[in-house]
Amino acid sequence: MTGEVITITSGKGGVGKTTTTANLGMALAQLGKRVAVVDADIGLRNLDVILGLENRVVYDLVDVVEGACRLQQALVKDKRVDGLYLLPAAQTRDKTAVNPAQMSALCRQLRQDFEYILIDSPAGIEQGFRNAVVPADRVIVVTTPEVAAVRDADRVIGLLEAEGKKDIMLLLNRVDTHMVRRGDMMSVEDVLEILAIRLIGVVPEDEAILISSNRGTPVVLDGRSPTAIAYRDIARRLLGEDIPITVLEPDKGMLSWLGKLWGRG
Amino acid sequence: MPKRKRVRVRGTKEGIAITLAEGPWDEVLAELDAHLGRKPDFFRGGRVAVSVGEQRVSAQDIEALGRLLQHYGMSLWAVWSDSEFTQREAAGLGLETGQSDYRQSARESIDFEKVFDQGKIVYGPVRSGQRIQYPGSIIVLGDINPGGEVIADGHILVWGRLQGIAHAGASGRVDAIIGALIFDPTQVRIGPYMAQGSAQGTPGMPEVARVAEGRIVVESWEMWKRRLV
Repeated sequence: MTGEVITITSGKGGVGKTTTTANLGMALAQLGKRVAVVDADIGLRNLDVILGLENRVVYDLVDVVEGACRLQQALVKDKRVDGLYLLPAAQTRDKTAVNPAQMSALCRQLRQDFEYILIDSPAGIEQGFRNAVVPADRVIVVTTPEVAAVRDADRVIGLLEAEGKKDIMLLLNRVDTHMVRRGDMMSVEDVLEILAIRLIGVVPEDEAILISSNRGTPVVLDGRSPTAIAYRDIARRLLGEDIPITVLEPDKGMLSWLGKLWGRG
Repeated sequence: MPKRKRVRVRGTKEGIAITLAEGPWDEVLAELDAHLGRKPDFFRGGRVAVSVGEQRVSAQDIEALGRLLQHYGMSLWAVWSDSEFTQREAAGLGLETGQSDYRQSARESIDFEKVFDQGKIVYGPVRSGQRIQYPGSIIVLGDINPGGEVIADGHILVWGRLQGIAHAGASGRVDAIIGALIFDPTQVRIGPYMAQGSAQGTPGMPEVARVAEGRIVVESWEMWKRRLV
């Protein structure tokens, strides 16, 4: 088996990288894939918390890289969904504990065992970012429709292009259709016009995300909320399915087509 | 019979460099006047260092040179010379002075006349954090995003949306222009002039920025085009 490495990154912090990684990992596993989600945010680990796996972490990524344990020992199996595994970050170290060559070697190992390896990148553009990006076959850049977040996403896309990454996709997170309609938020078109890369999906603003993160149960587990549908659609697009991109409105609990489809291309 | 040219004008990283060959000072100045007079707006706003070789030049003569340069909107900041007399006179006027460093500055020199003729095509978008520099003109096929920067010694033309920073005539040419299909910059600079972007543009209309009367003005491409004929 030769798995595919997909890195989730953003530049700016707090735009939803970790939530995205958790939900896409889980959604891909629900679709029957063998998935490893890797927390590359060494020193500030979060992915285990959001996945609700914190209390089962024994070894971590740095232990594996340093040879303190075998890869299989560090992987935490999710008991709710078949085929989903977490490789946690070390909490007591920092980003310099691992270098890009070691990350690539680690991913070579993971590729033999998994169909999809999702790497949750730390914020910023320093070594932690480079560690997360170097092994990637595809990159998902997460942004919210805020000027500062889009600016950072643009910067990161430039760095990824300079790195030779060809397959860079945009995930637009926390879109509030009411605010867009009032003209108080950048629209999907506004963001796409600046970033000019392929849109993989739009996730609406939804307080259910915060609740599910706090509980350690990613929204795709319950299956009904608009954010869950959005993440599941993105997972299926990653598998190559052609699903039109729509923006869902949480409070109405219904589909709201904004009259336009994006992301064919 | 044509005389050997006594005046050479170049752009350098430090501004405009003028080299004057030896000769009767009034003749040298007359030749410089004629040279600058051919393109009176060419160097406006530039700071000038003059190299005079071994010639002895009095403070009075340097002041006359300064007045001539001022007439063309330039300011004299340095006199390079191998004559100790000239150096003393220049220092007495508060100017920078020192040995002629002609050879060293020549290596860094930019050919002022040709700066517009050579170009580079850049495929956009020029993204935030990216900076592109070229010692000639730059054409961007695509956008310059906010946070992106394009710096050219010649013109800058953006076949797309200019939202970041564009600096044309970066080595001192104030007759450089910045044009864009959608002109919406954070900031534009031409030579030593700078202007902040404002949202006053004409939507759907290509626009051009240029220097006029000591400041940057923006006008529609249609208006600008008429000035060519």
